[in-house]
Amino acid sequence: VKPAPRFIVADAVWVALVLATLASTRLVELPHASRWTVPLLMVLAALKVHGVVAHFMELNTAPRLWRLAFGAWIVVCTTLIAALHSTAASH
Amino acid sequence: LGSGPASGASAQTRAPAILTFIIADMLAFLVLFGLFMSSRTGQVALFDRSAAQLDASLGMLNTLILLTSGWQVVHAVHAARAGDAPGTRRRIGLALLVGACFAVTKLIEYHEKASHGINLLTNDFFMFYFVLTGMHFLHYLIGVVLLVFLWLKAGTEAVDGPLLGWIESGGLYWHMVDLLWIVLFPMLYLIGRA
Repeated sequence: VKPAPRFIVADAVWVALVLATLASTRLVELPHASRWTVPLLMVLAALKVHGVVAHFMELNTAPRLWRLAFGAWIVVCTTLIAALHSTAASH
Repeated sequence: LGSGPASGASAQTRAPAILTFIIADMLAFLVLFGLFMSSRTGQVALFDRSAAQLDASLGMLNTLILLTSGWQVVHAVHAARAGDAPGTRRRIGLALLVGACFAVTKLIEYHEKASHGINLLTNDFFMFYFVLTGMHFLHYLIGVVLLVFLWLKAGTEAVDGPLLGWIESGGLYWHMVDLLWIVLFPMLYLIGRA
């Protein structure tokens, strides 16, 4: 039995994910929300999902097709939410 | 991803199988996210007023709970690859312990909504809120059952044998529960306040 590594990349990723979550919540509490608030929220969500996919699920070392599939989901999902929010706001 | 030294061919085939299931499930949620946002387009004021009735701090807490639980699962996979059964069990146990807080927070939230007479039929926002979080909660419960199964098996089997593939696959599923909530949280709780 080899000792399991005490510190792994996922430790730093977890810290970044926690900080991004706190930042997202703080962002909507700011007194002057701008038209960039929601796109910024979705960019943070995309980065967080990427962090989980790449480093928790370890898909950064997966075959290209899997990386493309998950990458496309992240981009389509967060862009769709931001775009439909923007469409509603302009009505 | 079935890359452990002793995971063998079965894990190599199991990991893509679970990934196929995960991406299909994520696509189903993507459709629901699109339906939610499309429905919001026609009734922005109602959706934003309803979103303001949600407790964003509970939504944030649940995000932190799932991220922390998922992080412990990553450590469990590393321990399993090293053949460290006690370490694997300890990490899965921690993931379960932290992950259980998600159910507590969610039930508090559902109870609080019910006590204010808010339910699936209140309006379109809450219909989506209960359907989306309910479906996510169902996935969460399946994940908890998987983790309990892995925790029990890690106590009786070598973790770097055939069980490793199951630990990796169970971990991938648990991370999907995590990443779906990462999108649900801003979409349901935050954008209505922005």
